[in-house]
Amino acid sequence: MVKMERLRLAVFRGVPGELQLDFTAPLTIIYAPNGTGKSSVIDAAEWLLTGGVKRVSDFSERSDAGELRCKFAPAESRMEVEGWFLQGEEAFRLVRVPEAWLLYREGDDVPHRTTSRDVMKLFGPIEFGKERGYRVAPRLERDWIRSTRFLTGSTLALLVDTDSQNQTARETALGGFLGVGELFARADRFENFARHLIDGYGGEEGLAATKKELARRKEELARFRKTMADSGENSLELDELIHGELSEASSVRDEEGRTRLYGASQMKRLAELKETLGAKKKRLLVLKRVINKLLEYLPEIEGIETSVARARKDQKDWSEKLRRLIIDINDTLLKRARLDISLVSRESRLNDLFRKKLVYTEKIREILISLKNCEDLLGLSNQSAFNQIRESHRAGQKVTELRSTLYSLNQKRQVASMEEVVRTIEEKVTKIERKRDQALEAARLLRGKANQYCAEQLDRLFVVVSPMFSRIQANEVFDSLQRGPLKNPFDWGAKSSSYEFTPSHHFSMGQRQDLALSIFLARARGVKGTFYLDEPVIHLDDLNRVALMDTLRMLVLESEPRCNFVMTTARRDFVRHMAEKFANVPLVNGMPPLRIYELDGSPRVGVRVAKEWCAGVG
Amino acid sequence: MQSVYELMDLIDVYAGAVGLKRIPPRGVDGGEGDQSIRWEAPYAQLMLWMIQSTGKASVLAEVEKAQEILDTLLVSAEKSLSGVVDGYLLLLLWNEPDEDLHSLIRSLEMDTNVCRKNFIWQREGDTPEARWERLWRTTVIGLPESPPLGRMVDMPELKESYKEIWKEIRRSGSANAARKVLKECKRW
Repeated sequence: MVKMERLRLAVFRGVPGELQLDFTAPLTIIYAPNGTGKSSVIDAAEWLLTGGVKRVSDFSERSDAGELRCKFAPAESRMEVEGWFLQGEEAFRLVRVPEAWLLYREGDDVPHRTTSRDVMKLFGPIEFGKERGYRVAPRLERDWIRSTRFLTGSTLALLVDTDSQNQTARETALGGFLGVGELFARADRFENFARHLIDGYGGEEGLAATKKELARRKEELARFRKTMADSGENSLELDELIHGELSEASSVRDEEGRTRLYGASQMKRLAELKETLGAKKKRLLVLKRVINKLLEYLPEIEGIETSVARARKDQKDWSEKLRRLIIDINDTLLKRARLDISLVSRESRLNDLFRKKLVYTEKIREILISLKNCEDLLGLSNQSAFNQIRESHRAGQKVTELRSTLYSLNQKRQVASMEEVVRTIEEKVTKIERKRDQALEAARLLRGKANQYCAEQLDRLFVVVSPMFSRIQANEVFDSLQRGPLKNPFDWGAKSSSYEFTPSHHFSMGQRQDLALSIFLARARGVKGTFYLDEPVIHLDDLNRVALMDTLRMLVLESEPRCNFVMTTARRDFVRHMAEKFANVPLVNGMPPLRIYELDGSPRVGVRVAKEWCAGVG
Repeated sequence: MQSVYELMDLIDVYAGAVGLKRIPPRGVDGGEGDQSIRWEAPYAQLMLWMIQSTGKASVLAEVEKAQEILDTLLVSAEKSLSGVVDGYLLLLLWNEPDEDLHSLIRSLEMDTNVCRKNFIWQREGDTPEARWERLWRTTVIGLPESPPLGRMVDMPELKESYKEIWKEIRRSGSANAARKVLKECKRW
């Protein structure tokens, strides 16, 4: 709990110079006509505590320093807001300049340059779950500080406008002040994740289309399987056999390849044999021609043989004659010599002829043998070729069989491929849906927990809000206030007899302001510290305004040192009446219960404290 | 009568919270009789007046009488202190008023003459605060304690699968975390 004891602002918003205000009283009222810088004081406190001014920065996280600087201030002057705080017993001072925060602890002469996170820590809620390492987003801390400490027009709208358009902003802000902002924020992020997931998939339509496609493919697969089952295929066996048969097909293919290769080589060999046969035939023809030629010599040989026989006979005759002639050797020596020579040459020629005959006969025999061999070989080759052709035919049959098996296997492969596609799509859709469902479930859990907690807190808070509202509402219209249902506890309303009323639709502007004030003040008592209310009585009627004065006095008196309030008003009668109301109120914690500042001037001529006084006894 | 003691105890607590102390009645001579009980502080006085009658006219007469007594007391107090002393008149009815009396109650509660006036009667309820619900319309007294709201709620324990998603969301943001899942799916 941090209380602001003093605030100094310079060159800020509607204050061109410097303004210093004391907030040590439990209640400080800053009175000034419109345009005199009242709201600038509240804005300065917001800038110091959160680093931004929401109404100026149009709800962005950081206010533009140029927008916050007083337009009428001299160029060389420096925009600065300084606050003196008390945290328990410890005092510190914080200075906000456009580029930084400077923190002075008690006894420090030199400031520590401080980060926004450290500042948020000073003024923000007690962080939850530190032991689990969670950290609250600075934005949430800022929102918490803003919605808890500052009652402005925008806070008022958030507190009472329960229309659905405003619901998310209300949930964030109100969740923030009840301490569940982080839960709502995380739920939002989970929901965003789920939304991005589905959007990235083409939206719900895209997912539906994929599911439709999946259903179609499943149907197609079932149909295909049925067709296969009808044609005698056992799909289960089929699944099991696919792998084995595929490898068998592969080996059969290899075998087919080998057979074809062997057939081709055999055919080549056959061609070679045919060629050899042709060559042999040609040679045979040559040999036949040679034989025929030789046969042509046969009559001559026979003639020679006849001549030889005749010569032998002549020899015999001549031998006889020789013998007879021996006697007449001399006479016949010459004749006989000549006849011997003739005989020798004729025998020599005959021997040559015989040798030739023998050679030719041998050659003919060899040729005949070779011819027979060739014929045998030709016969064998024909047989081999026939066998190869038959083998090839068999291989062809095998190929046909294998092709049939392959066709069947291709069908099975097609089934496997279809199954793979179905599985892939199914896994994809399942994963996306699972992640989406998990994210939404997590968001639901977080939101449920947040709503549950909010409902419990609001039930307790409404024990205070409801009587506070009823006392500010002098004209009793509503019997009680109640929180909304568990799914949206911030959708609160009022009851009168058996009728239910929604603030945004059925409440007057004044009643709405009463309700916002009741919620804000009831909550302030539970949070403690310093609270800033900008023009909180603007829509209240006389009686309700007096009731609010009583309520403020009650808060001051029961406050002990736990709360102090800073409020602005442009109504002099309110200030006067408040001074009267507090005239006999004793000191609170040694402090006057009410301090009033009256501001004078304008941004053009400068703003100053025209009057400062305290109300109360002593 | 038992219920009146309960009411007085309740007022003691919530009036006491803002410095109002119960003072004994001054008796018939002092004008208060035994119909009223007062709590006072320098800045205000609260008088509980027990209305004995039930008819509209007699109720009005009683209210006027109580108002007159309180006015006298307030004037006296203001004389001794310098400044305004606010008066609050709490008018106790023994039974819930009928419709006829309701209109009178409304007009008297809106009337700011002399002091703020509030009627009170007992209702069904589990606690004294609930039974005397109308007491809270008295603007001077304190209120029940507000619940402490200065801290944030602990994060509920999430399943591991949710934590994984959260880790990714925290690391790269909701949109990028979703894109990553989509990318994984497209890779198949």
